[in-house]
Amino acid sequence: MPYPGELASKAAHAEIIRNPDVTAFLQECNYLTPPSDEECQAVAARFVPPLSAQVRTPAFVIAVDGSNHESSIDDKLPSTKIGYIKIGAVLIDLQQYGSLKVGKYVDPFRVAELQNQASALAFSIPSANIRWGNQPTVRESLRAWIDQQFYGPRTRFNAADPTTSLRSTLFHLAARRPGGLGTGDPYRLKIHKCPQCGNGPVELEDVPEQQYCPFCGAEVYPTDCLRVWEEAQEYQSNGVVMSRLMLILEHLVPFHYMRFLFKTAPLALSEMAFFVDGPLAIFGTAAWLHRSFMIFLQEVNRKLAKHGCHPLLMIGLQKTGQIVDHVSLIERHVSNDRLLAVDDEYRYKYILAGREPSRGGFGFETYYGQDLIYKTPTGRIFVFALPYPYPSKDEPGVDFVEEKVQFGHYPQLPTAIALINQLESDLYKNAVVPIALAHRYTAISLEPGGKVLDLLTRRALNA
Amino acid sequence: MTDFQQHLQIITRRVLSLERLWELARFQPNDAQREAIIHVDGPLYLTAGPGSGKTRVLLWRALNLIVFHEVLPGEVFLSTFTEKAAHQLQEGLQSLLGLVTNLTGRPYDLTPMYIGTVHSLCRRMLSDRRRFSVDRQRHRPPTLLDELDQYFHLARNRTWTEVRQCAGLEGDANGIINGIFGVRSESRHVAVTNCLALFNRFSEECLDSDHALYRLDNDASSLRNYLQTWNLDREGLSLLVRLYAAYRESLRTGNGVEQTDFALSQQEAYRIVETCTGSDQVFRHVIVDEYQDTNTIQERLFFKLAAGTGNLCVVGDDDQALYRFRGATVENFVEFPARCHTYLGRAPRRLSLEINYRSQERIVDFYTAFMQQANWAKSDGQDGFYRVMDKDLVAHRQSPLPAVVASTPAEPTDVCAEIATLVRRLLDEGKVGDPNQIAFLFPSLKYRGAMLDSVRRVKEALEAVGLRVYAPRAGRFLEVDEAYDLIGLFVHIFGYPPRADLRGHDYQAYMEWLQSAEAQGEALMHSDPLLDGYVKERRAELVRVAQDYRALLRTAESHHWDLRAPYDPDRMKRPLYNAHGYSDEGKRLLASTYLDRVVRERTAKGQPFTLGYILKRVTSIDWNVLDLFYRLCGFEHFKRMFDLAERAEDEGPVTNLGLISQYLARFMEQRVPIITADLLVDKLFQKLFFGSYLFALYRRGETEMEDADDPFPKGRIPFLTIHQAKGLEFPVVVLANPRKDDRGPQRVELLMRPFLEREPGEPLERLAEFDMMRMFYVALSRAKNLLVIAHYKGKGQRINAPFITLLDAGFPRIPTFNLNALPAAQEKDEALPKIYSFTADYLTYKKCPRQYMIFRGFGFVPARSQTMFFGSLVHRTLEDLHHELIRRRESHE
Repeated sequence: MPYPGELASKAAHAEIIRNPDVTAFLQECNYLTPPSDEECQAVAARFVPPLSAQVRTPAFVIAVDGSNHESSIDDKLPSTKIGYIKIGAVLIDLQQYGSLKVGKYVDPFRVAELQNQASALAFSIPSANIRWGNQPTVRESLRAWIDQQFYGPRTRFNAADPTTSLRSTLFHLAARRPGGLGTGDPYRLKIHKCPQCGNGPVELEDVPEQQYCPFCGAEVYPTDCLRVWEEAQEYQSNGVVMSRLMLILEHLVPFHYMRFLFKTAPLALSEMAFFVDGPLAIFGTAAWLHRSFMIFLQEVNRKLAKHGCHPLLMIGLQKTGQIVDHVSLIERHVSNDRLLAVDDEYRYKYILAGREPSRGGFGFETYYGQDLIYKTPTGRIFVFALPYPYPSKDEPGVDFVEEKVQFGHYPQLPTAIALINQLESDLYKNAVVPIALAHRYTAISLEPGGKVLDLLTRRALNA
Repeated sequence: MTDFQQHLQIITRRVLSLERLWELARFQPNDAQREAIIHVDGPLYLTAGPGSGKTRVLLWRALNLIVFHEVLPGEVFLSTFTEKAAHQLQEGLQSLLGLVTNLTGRPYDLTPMYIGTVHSLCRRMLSDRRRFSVDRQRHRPPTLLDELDQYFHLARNRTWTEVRQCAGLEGDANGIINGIFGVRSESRHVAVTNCLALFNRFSEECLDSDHALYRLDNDASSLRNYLQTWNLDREGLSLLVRLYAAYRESLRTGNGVEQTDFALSQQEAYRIVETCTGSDQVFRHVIVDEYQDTNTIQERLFFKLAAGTGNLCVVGDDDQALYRFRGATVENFVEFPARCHTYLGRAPRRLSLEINYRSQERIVDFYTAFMQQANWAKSDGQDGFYRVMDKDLVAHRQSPLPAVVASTPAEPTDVCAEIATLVRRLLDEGKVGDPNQIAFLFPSLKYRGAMLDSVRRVKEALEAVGLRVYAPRAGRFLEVDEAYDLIGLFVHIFGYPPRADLRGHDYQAYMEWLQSAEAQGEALMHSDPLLDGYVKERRAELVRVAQDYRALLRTAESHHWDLRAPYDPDRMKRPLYNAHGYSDEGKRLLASTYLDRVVRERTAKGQPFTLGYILKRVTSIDWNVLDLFYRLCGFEHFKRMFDLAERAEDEGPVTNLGLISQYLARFMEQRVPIITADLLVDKLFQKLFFGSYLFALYRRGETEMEDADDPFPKGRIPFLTIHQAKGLEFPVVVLANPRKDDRGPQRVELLMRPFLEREPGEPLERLAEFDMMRMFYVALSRAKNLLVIAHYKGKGQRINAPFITLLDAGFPRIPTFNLNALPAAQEKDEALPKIYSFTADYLTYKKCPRQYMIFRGFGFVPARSQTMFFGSLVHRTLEDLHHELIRRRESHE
């Protein structure tokens, strides 16, 4: 770390270059190399035309994206930080969207109107060296404040009804958790252990009152089940926590919509598509959520099928990442209007550079959707994911690794493709309009967004 | 409002459209259906051929109004012809609205909606003090008597005597009355039955007795000519009108509570609508199904209700008008456009549902050709027709394959055998899945309570090929095996009634039936020692309580205690306890501390029990006839019937048991809710149950009560009257008797005509022909895949003229009919979704599937209905309080 005003030496790297160990290390590294033309052609041959089918595109799209920013409270105290997360959900009426095109062009003013139908959840996070209320540590502050925000009126579909809060959605999902930590009761959940004493599991109810650990009497919170507190730092940036929480929220918010609609107007779900940014997967301490998502989606689809409705459409769209990198290498060899379901063999061979396959198949502990690569008739290429068609990866009699890549198991695939074709955007590479709008609505720019948040933090804390 | 909430509102507002709902409900309306559904403003005249999906149209029409036009459910008046249809529509609507709720989250409550038969809706209007009364102060609506109640009311000694005396009729009243109806009989039963048929017609035509008598006394030559032409007697007519006036008076004053019947309740409803300001705008939409079967008072009521908005939608098919004998006036439908002009001042929009989704093309062609066999023209055709002529029915199921086949013209026995063989093959070759998918239709099934020979022949032919028949309206219901079994055991328990001073064939036949039942009961007891023991125990119990009552009575008499005097335990208890012959069981009841406490409490309140009450109380038994019924059902013989139904092998016996439970419940409700010993002493109970109630059911040939949901048990071939088949459909229909003799206009119609205050409509001399055509049209149009017609020939055999013409030499006959070409019947696809309630269905089923089958599936009446009665009482009291509070608040404001 430099001192203020200090400039770095211009020759400091020479020692590294001269070090023979470094040279030897570089020579022994294995890494992903661009495929040859022959390999590319072989890979491209795996792509097939998508099944043509009569589809009924949904009436609405909800696209969710998130963004975060960490502000220091003062230039003199750069290690004292507050984090901000913004989760945006953009609602697009596709009929309205279809009418935007006038001739070859899209009416920009009306696109701007679309963005007015957006909602946002803003979360603040006590980061390094910040304590909230009477909480003794950053970690305790983080736990209490996250829980309060999940429960707050702004996260509710009906501000007067706490059972419509984001926290209640978490209860509904946690109740579906397989194994001993599931309760089967949407008003009760279990956290695997008390963050204070480490004993567990601890069962909590969806009630407004503060609840306490039965073992040690410490305060416990329903949102502790997300386990983001495990990565909290007292004196350093909590960027990791923020990233984890943002990822969780990006997936949780669509399920929040789904849960409430499922309860009040379930068939409306067959009229909707949900776009989230990134693969359909939850990483880190809250990865267990992916199983609850799978179970919940299965319940929704069963109900929709009972009424003769299409299954719910949820699409994870990846703008960046390993598959996107891989695709850019082979793109020119793939014909237009071609599709590929990324199977484990392909992934480990071409994308993950020969990494050892994981138990139960790729993403066994994290993914709830299948990645697909699609090149549109206009030549744009998309990496997207659809939810797995099973409530679990251990379905009896199902070879999940084989079955998950069969197109026939994804009745919503033709609709997804039609929707991507309809919504592909010139604005960003690899993006569809809803995600682009959600991103634009959510992204906190360094300037002026980040600067303004810095000012807010400083003014509020200094006041 | 949160952002989430805003999103939700945007989504749920826009995802809803009628087209989307159709898609979800898998309904693809044709153009006419679509137009009928979305028509909102002004009168609508909807002619709907058989199987044209009119029920669905009504359903979607109501939904469209409620969901997309902001019409509140309470602003819709939807009248159907049967409770079953109303029930189906309500359930269907509830289900579709559930779909809407599933899409939008918006809930709908159909409770305020007026949906039901016109009778039930009138009744509801009479008690709807909020909307049809200015001050909410109207008295409780009169008790409604159904047909059987009406009969019991008028046939009761006291009422009948009063009515006759009021009408100034002395001497051989029954003979005189029956004579006016053209019947030579002195039977009161016949006289009462005939009178009621006419009285109902009088009420439906809004006959004013005074005015009618005035007309009879002062009318011109036209009346004289009419009476002469039809050989009627002016004095006889006058007597009937006076009897009618006296009957109405008896309803008003008899029994201590005001009573009414179906027809009069409509008049009362009409009167209320006429007098209550704004009542013509209570309903924004009045929709009437089966309009061809409405009568005069109903027509007036409907137009009156719709006068404020003009939104009157009528749906019907004049070709299916069957209920003239109940006062239906088909002209109301045929002339609807003109009437609309008169009453609403505007012409209705006419739409015709002509695509038949039910029957194969050849069947539709056949019944269309059938209707063309009659001349429907008024006089020379210049004045129009007695029928809606511009119909063009088209079958949706187009197929050149034959679907109508007749038997070889032959003697009845041969025809029946040929048809029975065909039916056997249909079942064996899987063309139908269950015998209940083949309906045998007859113009009538019985005469004077006994199965007609023509019906019996068909039944025997079917039985000869191993098929069983379910014929609830053939013969008396009491002649089914299960009634013999049950009533036979009842005879063994209660004993015979004392022999009544009655003569006549009916009574003799009834007593013979009772003896047969007793013999059947004995056979059952013989075969089951447990049952035998149970029956004897109950019998002994009854004997014991009767003896106890006598013993207590003797003691009371010996002490000169008045039975109406207050019971004084200090003075009376000991002597009663020591009464000679008083049983130990009885003593226990008398000595109970609970009884002592209750007696003391009542005395302290100044409301002491009478001695008579105490004697009854300590000798009453703790079961009633329904309890007894259910306990008997627990024995092996009856248990087997439930097992059969549970395995879906034969539901006939259990269906019959369900009906018996309903009759027993009615007896309890109207005659004897609790069996007390005083009723047993002089065999009063036996008189009431066997001598009066059961006898009345027997001679009326009661068969009306059928399960509204699924009247045709699996495993049996239904034998139905054509009237009974109205509104139903079957994969295979056998018209087993294409003969209906023209006996001229019905007597009631002749007697009614001179009093009509409207255009008389179809001429009397053509009524029989028109009615015959319409009746057979209904029969022919019930078939989906195959229509079989019995073609009788030979001595004394004939079929009606249109059939003679149509069943010519080239007509397909059974022996040459290729069964392979016939499509197999599909499992009945529930046309309308059924709603299951959480408590009545789900929880009951969860508690006990067999109980669910019995009470919900087969309509058994629970034995402990007192709790339900109490529940209703509480409900009504709360409602009264509610209205009173609103009234006070409004008057204060």
